[in-house]
Amino acid sequence: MSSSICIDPPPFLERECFQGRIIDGLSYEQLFLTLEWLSKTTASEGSGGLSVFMGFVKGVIENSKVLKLIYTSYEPYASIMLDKIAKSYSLNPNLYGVIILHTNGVALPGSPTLFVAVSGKTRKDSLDVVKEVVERVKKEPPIFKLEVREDGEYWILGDGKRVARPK
Amino acid sequence: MVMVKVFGYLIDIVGWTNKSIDVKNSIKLYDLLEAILRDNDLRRILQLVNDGQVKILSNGVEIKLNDWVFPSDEIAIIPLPSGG
Repeated sequence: MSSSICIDPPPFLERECFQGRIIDGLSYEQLFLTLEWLSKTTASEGSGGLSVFMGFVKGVIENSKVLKLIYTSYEPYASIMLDKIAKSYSLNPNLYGVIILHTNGVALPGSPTLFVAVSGKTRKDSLDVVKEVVERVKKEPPIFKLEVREDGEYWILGDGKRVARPK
Repeated sequence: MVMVKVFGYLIDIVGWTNKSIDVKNSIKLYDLLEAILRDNDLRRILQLVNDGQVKILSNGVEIKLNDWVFPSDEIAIIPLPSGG
């Protein structure tokens, strides 16, 4: 990988093509800046496309209106793990970059929670990696989620099991 | 001083998010937990660890009940992650 790419990142990112981190109150502006930066910087290496996954807060769950999610991350280990996941793909010659951003704190319905962008040689390369990265982010880093709904508050365990908080 | 942090629904079990405990020399993790948790909470946490529902980390690395904890270590008791 050329050392001349992935320079001049947005202020919330490092000068690296493969990176992941927790960002308090992740915003759409940050996602758009990341998309633009990763596209332009890896285009010079021959990339012609990004595959992207963006998770956002649902407005309704189990017929109950969601008021907000509250994410808590065990830092610095959550960011370290996200970064480790991204860098685990850096030796793949078919990939130009993997960026993983996860929100922390309060997230309202419709706002982004997880963002994964992969720049690769082919569509298949990048699409396959996006899917794999999303699954890993759901299981590996110490990130915890509280769902605040009209019918109560629920801790989320793993990928979907809910534990109601005492009222 | 050892800092102990708790995350997720475990906060509702133990009733706090973090506690510090004065440790002059090394202490076994089990003994540390016994010192800071109520009996019922300790039993419940240990059952969850046994069931693979909870992990205990020291400075970010998973440790076992028989492992040593040292002054200035940070212990985290964490449930299954729910990122994304």
